Amino acid sequence: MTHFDVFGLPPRYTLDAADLEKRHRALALEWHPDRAAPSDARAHRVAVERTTALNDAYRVLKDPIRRAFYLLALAGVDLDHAGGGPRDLPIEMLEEVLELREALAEAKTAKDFPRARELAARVEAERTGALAAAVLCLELVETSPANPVAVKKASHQLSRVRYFTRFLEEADALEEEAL
Amino acid sequence: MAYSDKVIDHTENPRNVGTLDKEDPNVGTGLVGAPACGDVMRLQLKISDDGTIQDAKFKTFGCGSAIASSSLVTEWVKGKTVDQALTLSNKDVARELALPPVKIHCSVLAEDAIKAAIADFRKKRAARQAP
Amino acid sequence: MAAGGLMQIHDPQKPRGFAVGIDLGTTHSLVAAVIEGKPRCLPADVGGSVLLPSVVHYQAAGGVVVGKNAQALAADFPGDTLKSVKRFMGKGPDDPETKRLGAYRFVGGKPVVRFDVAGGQPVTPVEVSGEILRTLKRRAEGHFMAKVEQAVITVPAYFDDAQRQATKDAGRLAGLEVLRLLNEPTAAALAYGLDKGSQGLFAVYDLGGGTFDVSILKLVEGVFEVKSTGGDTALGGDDFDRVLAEKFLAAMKLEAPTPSQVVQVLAVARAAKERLSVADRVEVGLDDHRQVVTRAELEEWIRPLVQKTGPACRRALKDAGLKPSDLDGVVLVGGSTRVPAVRRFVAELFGREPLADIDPDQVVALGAAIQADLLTNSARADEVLLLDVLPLSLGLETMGGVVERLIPRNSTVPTAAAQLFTTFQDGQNAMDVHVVQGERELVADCRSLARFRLSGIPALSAGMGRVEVRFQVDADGILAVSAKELSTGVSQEITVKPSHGLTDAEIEQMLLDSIEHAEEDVRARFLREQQVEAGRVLADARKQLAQNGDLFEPGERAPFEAALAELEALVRTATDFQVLETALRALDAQSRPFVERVMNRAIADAVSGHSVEEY
Repeated sequence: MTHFDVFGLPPRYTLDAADLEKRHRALALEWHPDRAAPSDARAHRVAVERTTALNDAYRVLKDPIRRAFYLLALAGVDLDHAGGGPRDLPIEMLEEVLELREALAEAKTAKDFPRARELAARVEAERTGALAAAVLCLELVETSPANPVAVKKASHQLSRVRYFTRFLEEADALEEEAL
Repeated sequence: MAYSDKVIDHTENPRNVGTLDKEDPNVGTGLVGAPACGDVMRLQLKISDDGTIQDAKFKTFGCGSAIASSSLVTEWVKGKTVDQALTLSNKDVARELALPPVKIHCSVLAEDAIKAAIADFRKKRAARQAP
Repeated sequence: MAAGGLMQIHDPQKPRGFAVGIDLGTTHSLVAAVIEGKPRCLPADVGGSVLLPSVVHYQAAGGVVVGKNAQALAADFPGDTLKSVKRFMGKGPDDPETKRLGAYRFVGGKPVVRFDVAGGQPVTPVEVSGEILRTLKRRAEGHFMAKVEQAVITVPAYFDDAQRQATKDAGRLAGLEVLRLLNEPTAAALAYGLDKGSQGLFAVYDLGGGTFDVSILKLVEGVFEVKSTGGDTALGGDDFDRVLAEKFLAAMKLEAPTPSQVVQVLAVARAAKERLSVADRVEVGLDDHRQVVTRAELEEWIRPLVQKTGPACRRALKDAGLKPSDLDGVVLVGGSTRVPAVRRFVAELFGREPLADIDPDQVVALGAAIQADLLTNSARADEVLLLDVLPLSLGLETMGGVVERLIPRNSTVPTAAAQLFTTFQDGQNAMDVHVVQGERELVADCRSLARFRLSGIPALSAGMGRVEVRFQVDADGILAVSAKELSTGVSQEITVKPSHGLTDAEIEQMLLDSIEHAEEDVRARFLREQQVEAGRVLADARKQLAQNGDLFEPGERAPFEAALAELEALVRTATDFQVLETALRALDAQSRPFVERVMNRAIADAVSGHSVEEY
């Protein structure tokens, strides 16, 4: 059962966030262990299992980035497990990442917080762009599943998203240091 | 999981961190990544005309075992010939550092980086020798 | 209990099996219950106060005093009078918390903090909290004249697994079934949301005596969904007191104060801080030292502490994907939000005036009472549901002390994650797993939750043994682990006991120890019950006397009144419940003829078209 199945939704990137939230609320009201009779241990266990599956599905689907990674995994490329993902990333992508990480490391050493913030803003924008590009490819896969080129392109763009996320985490840690 | 002291040592005091001039015709640069983890590794080798690795530098942004793996391979390949370096396998790295299964890919990354650096050096060389 | 007589006329519909909400606070604790559809805080301490100071005094003779009476003993017995014990819940003996300014004597060598106190064994924070909970349970029982065995207990949202386990253990020690550990800001939101019928996005800023929490919640159609939470379990009003106390000690040039002096200076600092919430300046007298402190000075000194709450708020907003302007309201919770500098800071941070119309000391207990009612009262279970989150990421230690995150923070609970482990040596039949909680990348910077060994893996060649370990977080935010060897299908349940927790055996022993005192406890409870019962009988008898006095036969009234007077005196003086019970029975027997006449009249009136209530 996929996360989409839990909600009775088709496996598509585009979804209505308000509708998803509503479905989650309705299903939680139906399944939550707090709604099971406290004395019925079996009903309680089933409730915990169903709600766990519901919550995990919700966590993934409500987040635009996690949702994209999940769809990519459904298409056969698992970027959510250590060592997974494409091995053939274009060298320019890696260069871009390495340069950014070096610039951030320099800002960190120099305690140049404005510079770090400026880099983070740039990476944030890059990440939005990479995600949008990945989504275009994923939508192609939705309409024509046997589309290895689109899957590959999506995996490259989502690799960038992952790299940018790591960068932003690092920048966040630096930001907390600054406070 | 027992953590080998070697990993911790290489993570805390990585050897050969730095950069070589990538325009230098004797320098080969390998750039590899493990996208799921968000790790990126650049490994550079300075290779003499007789094919001996004179120097090795790396820069890795990633987890401790990725840093330890790259640090270890730079130590190993220094003074070796290119052909010897090419026989280096990720299994040797994993064994030496006692990497657990979830981190084996870090040693793969280090092996890939060495191979990529040598390939880059050979490409440069071929370009130079070409008429 | 005696049947018939006056008690029959009164016939109170004794409520049974009350579930209460308990705010187990750093500074004080409260117990509340939903009564006739409304949450209410119950008298919890002497004098009917709803605030029970979270202070426990251990007497040399072995007795335990809780609350205001214990507080009064703090200056004379600083090491035996434990306050702010919540700050030590789930902590190890090396925790920085044990190094702060204070008067306690710690006993080393164990995985949990232990205090050396008068009257016997060293005690753990769990036992001390258990005493507070037991007191609240008894007070509630005294109020309802019925057993109270189920409770929702609140915890700071930012409590980790070890701190939650410790709180649950304390409930167990106090003889309470803990229906739910409820996060304090969520409880507050519940109290507000239900009170005001609100919808929308709210931030709850909760600064108590020892902990700080912030939560962002969305309230829609009865569902309270926590979007994100953050905080600091070692930051609160206590720290304001300490800063002030340290200034006093410095001004007094007291470099090595005695424990008594520390307690005294801390108490004075606290009083000064509270006064400065309403006054601009306050004069402090400590022995022959006099010092004037202005509000401006206090604000200057505590500014770094107040500002420390900022990043957590910003992060919580960010995690929820919101800007301050997206919020519909900001709610203040916790006594420390009475400090004007804190209110100003919150107003500035969120760009709006915060709400504080429910007493910030009571709001958490009221919310807990509502949740207890929701969980036990099926009649109303359809209205409301709470969806809370895991406050801190759960992860595993991997290579070189690095954390691999399994469940990210702010995941709605219950939630789960699975991790596959592979053997890396031939014939390997065990694996060590280390579970940590926190946001940092290095294990050393996170809380160690548990270490356990997966054993009994069948001997296979390296890489062939594959064990799936599943981590399940329940609705209380507490972790359970199970493991399954995939090639053979052999599974095992692992009891995860926190690294800084008590073992089951220790809890059992504590329960046994508490049974030793149980005899004493039962007698004390019966006495209170009889006192309340007698009070009710007396009130009822006086009413009947006034309304139906004409029904007495000649010579009956005087002895009846004498018996009432005697009972009244006994209620105040009796130390044994049996004395009171005997007196009640005697009164019951004596009044029976009169009561029968009253009943007959009531029946006659009812038959002739009047209701008994008209009398």
